[in-house]
Amino acid sequence: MDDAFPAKAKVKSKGKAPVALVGDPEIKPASGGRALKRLAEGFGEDAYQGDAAPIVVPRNAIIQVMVRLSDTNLPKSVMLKFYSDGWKHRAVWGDAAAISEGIAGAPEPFSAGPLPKPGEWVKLEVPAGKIGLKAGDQITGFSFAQFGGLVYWDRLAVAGETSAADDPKLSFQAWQQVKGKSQTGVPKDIIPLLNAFPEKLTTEQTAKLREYFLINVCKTTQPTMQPLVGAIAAVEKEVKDFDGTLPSTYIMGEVPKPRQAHIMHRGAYDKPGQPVEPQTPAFLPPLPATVTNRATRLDLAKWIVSPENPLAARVAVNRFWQHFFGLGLVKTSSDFGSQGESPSHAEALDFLAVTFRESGWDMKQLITTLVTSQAYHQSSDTRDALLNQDPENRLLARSPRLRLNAEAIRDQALYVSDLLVEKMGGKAVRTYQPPNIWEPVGYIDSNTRKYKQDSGESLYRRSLYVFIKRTAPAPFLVNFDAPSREAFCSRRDRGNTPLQALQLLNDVQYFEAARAFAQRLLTKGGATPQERIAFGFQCAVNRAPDAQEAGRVLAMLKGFEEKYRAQPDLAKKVIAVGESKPDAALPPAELAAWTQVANLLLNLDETIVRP
Amino acid sequence: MHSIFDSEFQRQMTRRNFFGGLGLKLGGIALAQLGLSRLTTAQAATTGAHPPLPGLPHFQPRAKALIYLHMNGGPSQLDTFDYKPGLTDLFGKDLPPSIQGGQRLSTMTSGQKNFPVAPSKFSFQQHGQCGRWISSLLPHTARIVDDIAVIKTVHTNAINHDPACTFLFSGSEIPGRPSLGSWVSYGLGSGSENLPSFVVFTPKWPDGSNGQAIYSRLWNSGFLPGKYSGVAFRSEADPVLYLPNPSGVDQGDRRALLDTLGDLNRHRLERHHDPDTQNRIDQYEMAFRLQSSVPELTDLSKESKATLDLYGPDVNRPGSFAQSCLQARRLVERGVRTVQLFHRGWDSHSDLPKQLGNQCKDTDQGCAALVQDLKQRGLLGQTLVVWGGEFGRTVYSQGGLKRDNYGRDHHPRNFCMWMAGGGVKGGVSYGETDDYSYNVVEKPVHLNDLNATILHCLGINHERFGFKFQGLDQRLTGVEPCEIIKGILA
Repeated sequence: MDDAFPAKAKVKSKGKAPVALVGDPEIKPASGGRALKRLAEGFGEDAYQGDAAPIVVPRNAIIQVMVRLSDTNLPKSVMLKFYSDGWKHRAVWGDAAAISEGIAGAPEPFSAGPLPKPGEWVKLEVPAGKIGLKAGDQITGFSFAQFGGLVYWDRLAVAGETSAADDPKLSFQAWQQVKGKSQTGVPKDIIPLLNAFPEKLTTEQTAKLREYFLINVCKTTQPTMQPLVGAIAAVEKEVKDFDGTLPSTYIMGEVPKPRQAHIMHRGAYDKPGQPVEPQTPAFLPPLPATVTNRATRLDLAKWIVSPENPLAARVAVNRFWQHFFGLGLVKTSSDFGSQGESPSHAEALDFLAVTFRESGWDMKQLITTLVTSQAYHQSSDTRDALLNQDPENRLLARSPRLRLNAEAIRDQALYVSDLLVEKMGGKAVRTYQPPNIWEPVGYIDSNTRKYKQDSGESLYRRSLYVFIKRTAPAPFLVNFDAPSREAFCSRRDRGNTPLQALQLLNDVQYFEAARAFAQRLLTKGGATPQERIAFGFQCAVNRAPDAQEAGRVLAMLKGFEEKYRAQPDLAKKVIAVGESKPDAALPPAELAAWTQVANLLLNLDETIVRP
Repeated sequence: MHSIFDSEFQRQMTRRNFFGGLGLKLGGIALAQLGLSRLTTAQAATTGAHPPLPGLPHFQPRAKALIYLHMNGGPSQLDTFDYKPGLTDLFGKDLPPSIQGGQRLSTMTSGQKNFPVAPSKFSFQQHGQCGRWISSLLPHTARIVDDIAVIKTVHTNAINHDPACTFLFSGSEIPGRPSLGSWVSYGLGSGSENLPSFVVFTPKWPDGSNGQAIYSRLWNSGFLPGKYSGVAFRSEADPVLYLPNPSGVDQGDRRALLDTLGDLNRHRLERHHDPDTQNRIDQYEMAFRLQSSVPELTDLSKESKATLDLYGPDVNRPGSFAQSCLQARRLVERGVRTVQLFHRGWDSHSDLPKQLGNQCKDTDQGCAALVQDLKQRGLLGQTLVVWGGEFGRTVYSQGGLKRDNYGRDHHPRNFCMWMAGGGVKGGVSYGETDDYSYNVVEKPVHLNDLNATILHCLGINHERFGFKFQGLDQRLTGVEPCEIIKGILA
């Protein structure tokens, strides 16, 4: 100790004044900038005890200290005390009896010599062995004591032989002896290894600890290791960053020891019944025999597609049928069990199911079969008698008229208006959405509490890519019967509400699409209004208008053309809706009038309903 | 006349035929000669409003409309309606194991070393002719005690918010089932030609309160057709989405467009006779009407000063609970069937006196004003009002306990709700809890009982009201037996 007690020192003092470290001009220290000062009447002491680095006693250790006694206020004796498994190690100079503290069970202080000459700095020395300290002992406290007088202390040191074998910064074993307390910055997983008895560690643990020592502590190896550590870290980061760019997904794996499954009574998770093994329902074909005793997921997968198991193909084919015809041949498309309905056309279902499986589960071929069928090619026109007889069209006397689903309606508007960005993949996008959809429902600290809309092409991607917040799904999805994904949905409803009407008329996404569609009509639809109207019909409903329809639309167009020529500022507002910029080459009044026409076309019943 | 064949050919060249083959059915030509026929199947709503199911209501209803004031998070019953003066002397004492009865606690408190009783900091007084005990946090509700029936013994299965709210509103902890309001719409139809039949408000709630999330499934139609879903009126901007026309477009423009649209759709309808097309024409007309009826609805300037004062100064703050209450009254006046208000922030795990105080301050006057307002207009008798959360709170303190500060954890075993109007007897207290407000002692009311009673007031026998889905006759009240709370019915 030189100018200060160790960091985090707890110093206990006895005597007339608190602990004081003083320097020039009061006194010139023997070393460094400060010396310890103690004034006492009777017994006085400044004792330090703490957790900072313990001093390890080297071989042939000699304790040294500088002391300066005041010549005007002489103490009777001065003493050094050391704490190593108790305050048992004391050396006294001067009158030993005067300073006796009578510590029970401790040896008497060693008389190291007479009081030193006062008025000047004197070096006192005592061999450590004389006060019961041996090589390897750890000193965790020391104290400067005196009886009466004014004493200055400085530079308490321990001199001795050190060898690499004792130096914790050179010897692994020595470092282990010091334990974790003295080390700062030791990682959490290393500390328990360091604090354990070395003999109790496994070979791996010792190796790990030694590795840490060589890389971070040992003075001879650390300078070589540290740059390497840095280089390794850099490469590891590179690897991690690269891995981060690879798309990853969860897969299933078999656990080494399978958990025992039980029948759970009434489905209650805390009411297990008899133990069961993997198997299939008894009324279906059994799982094929397996090589191992216990069936695996692969066995299940093979069973699902095996020729003996009719179920998967029938269910799949039925779902595709439902998609094109509105209802499956089996109406309860998610239930082929005893509570479900029988197929309306059993042979058709059989035929399609077997063909599907035999084709190698070829979906495109299945779909081709469905859409080139006579049933599908029928007109969807009907009449009252047929409707009354068969409102759900189970007997397929007509092709069904089915409203498009939510995603298709939006995609179609974007496609027809040339706004659709057909880029595939990437992160989910946040398209236009009215304010205050997410905010009323989310947690305060949710990262989907506030909606932040994207810009640019993200607004015009396919609806497939739109971000879904299940507790507050996008209105364009909800309004058109898309499920929230919180529960299964095997067949969507095809509702018809005024909110849908409001959306298709007024939502910025659709009105902007109308203006873009108008641009398409004006630049690519021909030169005359009649040509453009016909082109518009062709784009929206894939047919030409008849004379009555064309006439009606033309009349509306003319009305708007007149209006916008008279009120050009209104026209400018109309064509500015949406983030994309209107085509500057087109006169605003004309573009606005055609925007109304396009808005009309995109709202036709026929546009959003499959014919 | 133009060539029939030409236009017919055009018409048949649909996307379908693009796939190859021209399997034309020329039966279509015959249709043109048949002419338009007006179809009125069950699907074709005449005005956009939907009619009730045949046979419903099952009997003469007391209530025609339901207003549900949901206090999300679980209001503490001990600090509002369930008066337990004996707890004052038990301050700090551990909840006896005999009272806890081996109940599993939530992980938010199960690790606590002790469960000290936290008596309510607030004083209770008796009010009204019935002498109802109410805490000082609810001075306005205190004035309507003779009109409300307080149920002290509501209980639920779930201990956490998501399953508890989902159960409260759909009869099951598992998502995907229709909400109460959707069932009511489905069964009783809509009473208004111009407004949705089921409307939801999500008003603002006090800063600093512990607000839990809510979810749109609480007003969703589940496996019922989508048109029965609740319409959430937003508190900011326009209440109904996409209501206003785009910039530069006025109602005259819209009328011109809708006229053309209607003509074109009808022209097409003449050929294909799909009733859904007529339905769509009607929906567009309803949308047009909504564009004027909704602004009229939300325009409070015609309300008398006396009425506005009844609801308090918050009534003029957009998105406030008080304003939502007034809107609810206006909606039921105009024939809306169900209005639900979702007020968040009642989940006072800590700092309860302050948070609950703010919550009550935000809602108390609005609730009382709503009941009084309905009563003054002679509407209370035909409007059922329900107030409550999804569970109660523990008598023991969550976290540190002081006389004037404490928190409470979730408590499903008993909590308080109140009902008013629509066949409910006023001035009634139903059910009793034990001295710790920890267990029901008398007349338990399960949430299924509550929902059965709500349906009953609306004229629906819950046992005969279902929807076939997944091979089951699904009901709001599920399959367990449950009962109408006769004790609160007039």
